[in-house]
Amino acid sequence: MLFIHNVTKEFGGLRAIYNLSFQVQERQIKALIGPNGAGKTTLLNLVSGLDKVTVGKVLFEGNDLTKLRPHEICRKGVGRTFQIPHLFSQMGLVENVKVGCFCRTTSGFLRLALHSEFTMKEEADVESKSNDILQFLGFAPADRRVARELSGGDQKLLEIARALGTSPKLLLLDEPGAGLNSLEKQRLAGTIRKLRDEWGMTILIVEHDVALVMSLSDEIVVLNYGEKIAEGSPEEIQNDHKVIKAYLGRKSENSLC
Amino acid sequence: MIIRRIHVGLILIVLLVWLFPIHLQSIMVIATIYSIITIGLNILIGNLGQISLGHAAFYGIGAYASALLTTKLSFPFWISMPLSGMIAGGFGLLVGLTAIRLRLGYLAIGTAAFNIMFEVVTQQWETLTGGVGGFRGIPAPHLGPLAFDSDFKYFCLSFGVFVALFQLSKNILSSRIGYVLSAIKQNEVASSTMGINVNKFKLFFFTLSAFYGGIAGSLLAHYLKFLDPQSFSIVFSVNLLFMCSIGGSGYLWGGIVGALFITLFPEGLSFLAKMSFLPNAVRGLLNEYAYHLMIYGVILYLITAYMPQGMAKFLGGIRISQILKKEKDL
Amino acid sequence: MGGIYALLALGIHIVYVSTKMINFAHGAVVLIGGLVALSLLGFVRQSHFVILIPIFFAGWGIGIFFNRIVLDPIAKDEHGKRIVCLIAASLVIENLCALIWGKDSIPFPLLPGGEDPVVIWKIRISPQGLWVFGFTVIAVVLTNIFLYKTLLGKALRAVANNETAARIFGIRPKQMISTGFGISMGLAALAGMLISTITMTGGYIAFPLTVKGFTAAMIGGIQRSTSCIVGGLLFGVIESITAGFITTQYREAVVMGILLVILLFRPQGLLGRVDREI
Repeated sequence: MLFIHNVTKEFGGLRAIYNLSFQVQERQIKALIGPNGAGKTTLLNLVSGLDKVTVGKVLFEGNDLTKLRPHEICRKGVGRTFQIPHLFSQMGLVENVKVGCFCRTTSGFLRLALHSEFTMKEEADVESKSNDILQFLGFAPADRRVARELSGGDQKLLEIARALGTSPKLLLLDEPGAGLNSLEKQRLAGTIRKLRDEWGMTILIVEHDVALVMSLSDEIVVLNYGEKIAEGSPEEIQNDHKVIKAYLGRKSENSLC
Repeated sequence: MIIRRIHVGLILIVLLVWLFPIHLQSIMVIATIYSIITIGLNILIGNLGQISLGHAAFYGIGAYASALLTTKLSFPFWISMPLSGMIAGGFGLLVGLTAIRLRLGYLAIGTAAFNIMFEVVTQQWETLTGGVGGFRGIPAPHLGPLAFDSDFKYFCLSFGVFVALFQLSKNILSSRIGYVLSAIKQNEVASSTMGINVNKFKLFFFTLSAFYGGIAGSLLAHYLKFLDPQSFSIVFSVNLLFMCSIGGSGYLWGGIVGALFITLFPEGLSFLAKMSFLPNAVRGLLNEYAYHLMIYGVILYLITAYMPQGMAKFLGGIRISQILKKEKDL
Repeated sequence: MGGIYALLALGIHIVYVSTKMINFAHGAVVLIGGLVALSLLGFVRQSHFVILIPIFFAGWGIGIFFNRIVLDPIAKDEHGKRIVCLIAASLVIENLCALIWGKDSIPFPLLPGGEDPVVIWKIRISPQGLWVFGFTVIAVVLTNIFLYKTLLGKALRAVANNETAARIFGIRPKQMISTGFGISMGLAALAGMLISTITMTGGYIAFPLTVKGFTAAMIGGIQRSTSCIVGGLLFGVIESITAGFITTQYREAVVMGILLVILLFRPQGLLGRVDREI
């Protein structure tokens, strides 16, 4: 479904990603791990269109994403969350998710200006869809809080909810587990699995918490200094020499076991 | 038809103005005209962050267009007004195409450049615009036997146009477009990854605000029955900017507060100037336009630096997003 | 004429290079520089050259004033607000000038040489223009040396480029920016004085001046001081060509139009390097 094809990204003289290639199959949960600065978030930025590749292609269902702008990529079915939550901080929970849903509505300007019946129905649909998503992720229906007021973990969940509003086929999650305690992480893992199993979604997740990744993913890609050093199932990765070497000698709080 | 509170309020306003002395009535007309421009501009500046120094040009384009359409081509006012709006909107579209790609500082300069272009053209193209001497002889609009030639009648006309446009804007903003604007203001990057074509929005509102400016210009032309290029200079663009800021950029009523301020403030000062206990030098000063502008500059600075919500904070203004009644007061 | 624009462009360039900002108040300082010089000259009755230094430093002072008092309260990343503040400042200064000196243009005492065109190599140039040109050349050379060869200049550019890195090296950003503004404004004030010998001073010219200076800088490329100068000269040339061949009256409009075209297609200017942030 998603083909990363010989992608290289350079920032001025700095090479963030070098000749990276891998695939993500449909309904797969694939993880991207690696030490800090390995280029993981950069890759997500490239896929979602916030940055341009220097060399290479990103193919999604036959579309070359490197030629598209972020909003077009979203409409093709790619949703994403951000490492540091990029929520609409002054809006409430439902509103945030609604904004995500808007890209799937079709009312034109004239209908909106005149508050036509079609528009009213669309808006009602959006509202119920948003509420459903929020409930799925475990938010209380009557939650009147504003995005700013949420805890870190809840904010990340809200980001996911909002991304879900865009009805994506592929979901890019950027360190969704960061800042969560182990209970919340478990809940998150369960939710991600449900997204794949019940909602049929394909997921590419960038994560630091290796344990979380091991238990959750079907396949893992390991990046170091912008290059792929290993790819495979969790077991293969755990026993890969290069991976172990890359993680050894670093002040990492996560162990590989 | 259900008469709501707001309708009563509107009627009261009209009645109030009827009671005003002519002098004050004419000020209200101008204030209404300015308010029309600011409805559109405020969204552009406050929510989309596009600081345009060129909107006086759209205002002027509307004004001259309407003047020409009615005099040279004998169009009736009721056709030439919307048409002028569209012509101005057309220019807005063109300028907007360039403007949206530019970063802030360049955007301001670019729009300023456009304004200067407009100024030069109006001053030099004498056969078309009457040059620096001005364009004279613009007819007053009439509806059948009723001619809008008194200040009060014209106020009703422009107020009517204003209310219509205001309601239109409110409708637009209370729909999902309002949400999107709010989203763009809070986080442009996230908005684009959620499928929102930010540039399209910017372009749309650029054009819309130019359209509003054009309509306002048309109203001005037929009110003053005379146009001179100086009214549409960059200085006026800066005044527009000031109006939007003082009322609160991004607030629905912001521009209107600003328009009222900029029209009533000189009145207040000239009233003060009549007080005999002030020394003559000060009294003369209070009436100088340059002095007014200077004060506007100072206020603009203070508001931008220390109180970006402008007067809306005091007046309990409604944020554009808050029309949706789902946001909390922050 | 190109010399004038070059001078303006240079000033804008300096501010841009030191702060990555466009100084909207540039034109206002040019205005006030010219007017103050006018008054000083009337007062002091010396030759122009004596006034040069004080005017320069007056401008410098204004620059520091801008940075410290006007811009400080605004956080550095709130670009929109900073621009509006500069616009506000420009408004204040311009109208202050109008109040003190009146709203109309005032002629300015001439530099030695008179006004009649002199023929050099078959080109007719007014002696005043020669002075301006000569001065511009000196200014360019000095600026170039300062910005690229001296330590202070390099520090200035470093701050605009990457503030955090500059801090690590012990450079104090605020001082650098103050200096940048100071020099730029000093230059602007001088420009005001010189320009007034050719065109008059006074009136509501602040914004158009800023835009023209920027246009000149844009035509050349705002990154390099040399290309700014070239831009200024080109500006003058384009204006003259338009005046000569197409129409005298619209020459300003044409140049503005060219600016818009450039902004649209080549935001780095005709000769400049690409600034990725545009």
